[in-house]
Parts: sequence; C-alpha cells; structure tokens
Amino acid sequence: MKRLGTLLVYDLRHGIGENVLKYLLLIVLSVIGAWGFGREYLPYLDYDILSSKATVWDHLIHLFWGEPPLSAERDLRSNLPMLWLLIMITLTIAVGYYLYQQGEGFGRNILLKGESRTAWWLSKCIWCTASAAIAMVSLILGVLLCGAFQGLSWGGVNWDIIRMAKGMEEQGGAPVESMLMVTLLPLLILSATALWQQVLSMIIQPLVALLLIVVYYLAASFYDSPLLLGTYITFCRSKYVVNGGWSFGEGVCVGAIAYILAIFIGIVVVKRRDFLQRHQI
Amino acid sequence: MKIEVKNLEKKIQKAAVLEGINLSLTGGHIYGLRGKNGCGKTMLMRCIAGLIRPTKGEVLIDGKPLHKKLDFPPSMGILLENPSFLDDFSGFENLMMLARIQKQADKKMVRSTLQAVGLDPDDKKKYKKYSLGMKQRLGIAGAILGEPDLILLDEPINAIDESGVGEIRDTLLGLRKKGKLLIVACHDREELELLADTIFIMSHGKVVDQYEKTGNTACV
Repeated sequence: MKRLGTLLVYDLRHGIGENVLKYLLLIVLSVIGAWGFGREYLPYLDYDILSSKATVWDHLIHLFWGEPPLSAERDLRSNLPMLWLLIMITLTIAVGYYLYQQGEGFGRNILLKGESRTAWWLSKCIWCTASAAIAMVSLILGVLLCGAFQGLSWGGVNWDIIRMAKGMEEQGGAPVESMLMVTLLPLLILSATALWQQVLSMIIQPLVALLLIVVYYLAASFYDSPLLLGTYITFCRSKYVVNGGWSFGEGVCVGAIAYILAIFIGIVVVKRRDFLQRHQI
Repeated sequence: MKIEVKNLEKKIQKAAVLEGINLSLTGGHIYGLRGKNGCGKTMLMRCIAGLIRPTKGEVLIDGKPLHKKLDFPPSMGILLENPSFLDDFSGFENLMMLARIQKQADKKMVRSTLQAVGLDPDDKKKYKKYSLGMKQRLGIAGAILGEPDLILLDEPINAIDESGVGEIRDTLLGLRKKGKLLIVACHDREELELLADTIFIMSHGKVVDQYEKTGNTACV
C-alpha cells in the first residue's frame, strides 16, 4: 500500500495519456452533446414568457430527464436517451482494455514494482473514478457553455419550465436534492458502473465485459429496477416528478453500495488472479 | 534473501504445469533453469515472482509465505519472456518510470544501469525503434535496476551479440558478488554453465536433475 501514490500517478498519466483519443472523444461528445441538447430545447422555451427564468439546473434536469420505463404508452420502438447512452458507451470504451493491458508487458513490471496487488487495484479504481469525473465535468462544462451563450441564470430549479416542457407536475422534494441528483449522483453511478466493468474484465474477456455493461445501461433505459443503476439518474422516474419515484437518497445508497462492493470484490479477484500471458489463459 | 519452494504444484485448466517442486535458494548465488520449451521454467519463475498462485505447496521469501504475508517478493527485478516497455519513450525514460515506482533508484542509477548493459543513457531513440538486441538489453536493465535482492531472468541473452553476452555476464556475476539471488532460465547450456552456480534441469513441469558448477550431478 505504501506505493499507492506512485502507482496512481502512473495510472492517471498513462491510463489517460495513452488513451487520449478516447478521452477526447468523451470530452467532445459530452460538451457538444450537452450544448447541442440545450440549443434544441431552449428555443422552444424562448417562445414562452417563462424563458427568462430558465436556469443551468433546468438544463441539467432536461439532460438527465431520460425516458419512462416500458409501458402501454412506451414500447421498445420509442426514443432512447441517445446522448446519455453515447456518453456512457464512450466511457465504457475508455475504461475498456486498460486494466487488462496492465496485467502484462510493462504494466506487469509496474505491478511487481508496486509490490502490492491491493494498491495496484485501488490505483485503477481511482483512475476509473477520474475517468467518470472527466465525463461528468465535460457534460457540466457543455451545459455551462450553453448557459453562457443562451443567457441562462444560476438560480435554482424552475419547475414551471419542467411542467411546461415535459408536461409533468412537480411532486415535491428539496430543490438541493434535485440539483445533486443531476451532478453528484450521475458521477457516483458512472463510477460504480465503470468499476464493475473493471471487475468483470478481470473475470471474462474485456470486450464481453464492455458489451455486458452497454446492455446493462440499455436495460435501465427501458426498465425500472432497483438493481439497474441507470434508473436512479433518470430524472423522469424520480420522486420529484412521479409519485413513489426514486429519491436522491435511494440512488446514493445503492450507488455507494455498488461502488464499495466493486472495490472489495475487485480486491478479492485481484488477490486470486494469475497473471499469465494471453495465450496461457 | 532466502527462497524456499515447498512441494509446489500448479495446474492450469486441470493440466499440471508444475509438479512436486522443492528448492532452497539463497542470496549470493546464480541458479540456472534448463529444459525444453514448455517444461515449466517460465511458470516456475512466475510462481516465485508471485504472478501466479500455486495450486498446492508454497513459496517462502525469507520465511514469509507468498500470497499470505506478501503479494510479491520485496525488492525484485524480472525479465519474463519478451521485454516490454512503452513504445513512445526512450530507454532512459522507461527506466525512470520504473525507478519512480520502485523509489530505490534515481537518475544516476538509471544511467549507470543502462551503461552496464551496453546502452547509451543519452540515446533519445524511442523504444519502438530499438533493435531486438537493444530491447533485450533494456529488459535486463529493467530487471537489475536498483540492484534488487532477487533477479529473475528468462532467456536473458536472446538476440544479444557475443560481446554483449560477455558484458551482461560480467554484470550478473558482479551482482552475485554483492549477495543478490539470481535465477536465470536459458536454452544455451554453455552460457548457463558459465554463469550459474547450480543448474536445475526441468522436464514436464518437474525438476528432474540438478548439478553444481563443479560438474557433480545429483538426482532430485
């Protein structure tokens, strides 16, 4: 554990540095997507007298609005939250093979010099969380840029606009929680899911792990389940707009459990793992 | 440093790749591993390095069992199969990266290690432009950097020219004098006999014979 710091510097430098194109794609997609998304719905609000009250938080809530679960009104052919899915898929690609590659070649030398499997894994977990943070910060940056150009205010959530744009009534809940639900919670959920992808990539082929995570994300856009983490960051299913919907607290609890569990299961897997050449596995 | 390998067995997908291996290795010696391809030399090195977990038996490093009290032997350098470094960095930069993690080596030591294996520390050439021999030399430099107590070298003289082999041999013998424990796997019988104090012959995952440099043979 004494070398966690140096291992972390290596992972942040090389995990991101060597995959810079994937991260650039993630950043560009997040910034442009968030901005483009805002440009798409804000003109609609411009027609309304309430448009002057639109805030950065409204934008974020619309960005994380998502789709309701499958029902009589919504079938498989209905819209998917494409931007959000694209960002998540790009993140899974960025996380993808790094851990696997670090178990052989030069990465293996780093593992041995680090002298601790646990420190090596924890360093990868922090890198993984940093990758999710890059996605989230880019997304918020896109919203802020859009806000700056569209003249959005910094005020709180404007429920009138949500009611008008989405046709749903506010069901109550603390405004601060709704703000955290579109900033802190997505970061936690993205990080936890990326960590599970890392754990899976040590047990099965990284490509299969990546595909499983994409399917997992997709499943959350169609179904509502406490085990589908994506559910908690779909604002239209939250208690703020749906009676009996998910709360920020529930999302944080499940997200934190998933995050911590991934770290501990990862430690067990790394401790028991044989570091062999690909052809020997 | 003292390494004890006790009744070591490793199975991969139900096939035994190592079986009934017992060794006692001490610092200040060079141990050779010889045998045909696939006889288990590299797998034994992986076990001693802590990269794989034995199915049965254990490896003790100074009395501490691997995978229980230790993840990897402390102070170890390794060259396993082909040397692997970062393509877009020079040899010096690659070694500096290892040195930063290890915290036992500094710039001066990196330079002297590169010189010891016949590489120019000021050479800015990227690793991907290195010849096979240069890559191999850098692999050895990576393993001996910081003069670790345990050095594992798998086929270290592959692709190295005759004069280079002499340089590498002198460097390894120098490390032995300093009390380091070296384990070298090599196809070249003559070279291994010049280098190693004790040679273990491996076949089908077992140590089937061993002999000292004096030529005395003893069945295990």
